[in-house]
Amino acid sequence: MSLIFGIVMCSILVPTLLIMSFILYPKNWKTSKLIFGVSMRKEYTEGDTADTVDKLYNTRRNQAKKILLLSIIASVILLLLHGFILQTTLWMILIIAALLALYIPYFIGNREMKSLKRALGITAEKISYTDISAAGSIRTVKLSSILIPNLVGLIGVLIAFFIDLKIIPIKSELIGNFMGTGVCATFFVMGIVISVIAYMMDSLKNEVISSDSTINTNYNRAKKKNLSNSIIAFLWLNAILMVLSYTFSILMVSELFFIIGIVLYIVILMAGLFIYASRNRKIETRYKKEMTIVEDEDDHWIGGLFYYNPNNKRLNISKRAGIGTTFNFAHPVGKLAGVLISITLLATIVILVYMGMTEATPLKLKIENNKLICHQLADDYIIDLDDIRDIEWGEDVSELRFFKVAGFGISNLYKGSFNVNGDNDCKVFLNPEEGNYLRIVTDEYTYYISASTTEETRAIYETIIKEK
Amino acid sequence: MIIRIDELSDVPIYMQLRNQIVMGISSGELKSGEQLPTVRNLALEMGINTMTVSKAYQLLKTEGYIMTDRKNGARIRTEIKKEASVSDANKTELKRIVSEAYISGVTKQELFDLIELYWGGEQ
Repeated sequence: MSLIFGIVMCSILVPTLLIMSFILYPKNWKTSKLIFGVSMRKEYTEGDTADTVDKLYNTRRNQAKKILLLSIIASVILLLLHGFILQTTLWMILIIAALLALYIPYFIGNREMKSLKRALGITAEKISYTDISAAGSIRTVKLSSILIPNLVGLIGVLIAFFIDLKIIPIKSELIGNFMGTGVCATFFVMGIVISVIAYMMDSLKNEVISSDSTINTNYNRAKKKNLSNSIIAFLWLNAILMVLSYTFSILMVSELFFIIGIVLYIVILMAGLFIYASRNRKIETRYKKEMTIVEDEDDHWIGGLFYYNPNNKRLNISKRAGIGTTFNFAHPVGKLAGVLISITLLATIVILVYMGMTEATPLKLKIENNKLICHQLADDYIIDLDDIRDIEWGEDVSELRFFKVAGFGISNLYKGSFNVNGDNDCKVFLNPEEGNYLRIVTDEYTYYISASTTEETRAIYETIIKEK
Repeated sequence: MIIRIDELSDVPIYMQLRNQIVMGISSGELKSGEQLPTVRNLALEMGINTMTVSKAYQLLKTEGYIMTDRKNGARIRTEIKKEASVSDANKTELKRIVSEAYISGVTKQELFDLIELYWGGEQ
């Protein structure tokens, strides 16, 4: 299971890093529109300056190559690790570290290019260009083309919901716990989010590259068309994968199909991103000769990554590094988004630490004041002994079939709400590696619990039997 | 037609926009009857406040360069009133330009050549 998880993470990280490298560090800087987020100028390609830029660029590009190679080696090493939480924590650290590290040469390169620009006496003119004939007229994302795959997604969610409600009669152990509905809804929400982003990107400012409006219109239309085709392909992929993964999981009752589906989904998604990025590059190369106007916004791009321009009232700005849009962090909503992104990153770290502590803390069972207390980091379940209708000693936990609804479901800890052997909403607090367990039935819930060791579990079982 | 806004200029943005549209009409880049973007679309595209674009359009309308209505938005007037005279404000501006050129040693012919070049918005 940990190997499959590793493969999933690997299939996310490695292609992402490769695509980022392809976008951030193209082989030939002279054909690029930007050098480390600094607008390309004729001066950089002439005489000694060209040699300086070439040396600077290749130094940073080689550093990025080394970082990429190290990240891939680290990914392969992580594949060999065991322990879900440890693996998850290390994967998250690796993902964040690898992405940040890949930007470091870019960030330094941006600073060096700005210094070179100053040394050459090039100052930003602070002039913005707008093609009046393109304003609001170049739209390639059609409502109907993004509505249909989202409708398919919505129908999928509704069908899953009706199956969970048993309005549509299908026999499967996964039904009734709304897990399938949750998964379908996640896919559906992702489709909606991508649709909103597509609309935002479709309304991005049209770039002015030439004094000829026809060239500007064709250039922007080509780029937006590439975007809309990619988005529509993604939305269909999302809807189809949702239907397939749900159908297979219901028919086969196997989490493996979800995992295979997710790996397949990520691989296709990354391939799609790569095609999108390479087509964009082709468009840039095709229009390179036509580019006679360069709008100098270099000073508004901090490190070539973060856009900050109080004079620009637009919220979403086309990214200089990477694919998609970014926020204008001088805009009030951009500032709010910046705070929310920081909170999310911090929360992720806190959750990872909490998960690590949970995995490292042994399960404790104790009886106090006629109550059975299941304690790990806090009191998870408190069961009044008078409420217990039945108690059974279980010899082998592996004979039970667990489907997690909410909580922890890792190799050495099952905790939370589970579907156990087709019985919905059972409360589970056990270490599946221990083997023995207690099955406690109350009027409200059925509990499957164990302590960290068989001896402790046995002692609690005997105490409860004596008390009853 | 390309609008060029100088953020460091002393001329307010709405006036720069107005001036560029007038130059566009003069050069023929904006043809009579041609549709202009809506206030919202142009403001969004330029990354400026809608009030700024609205102010420029209002000024152009008052001066008789464009016409606006709720149904069709803003358009270049099919027949722009030809008063065949230079306004007092433009006379003052022209005087300033001529004076500066004179002080900096530009010859009368060079200035005439420039007028010839810009006449009808050829450059």
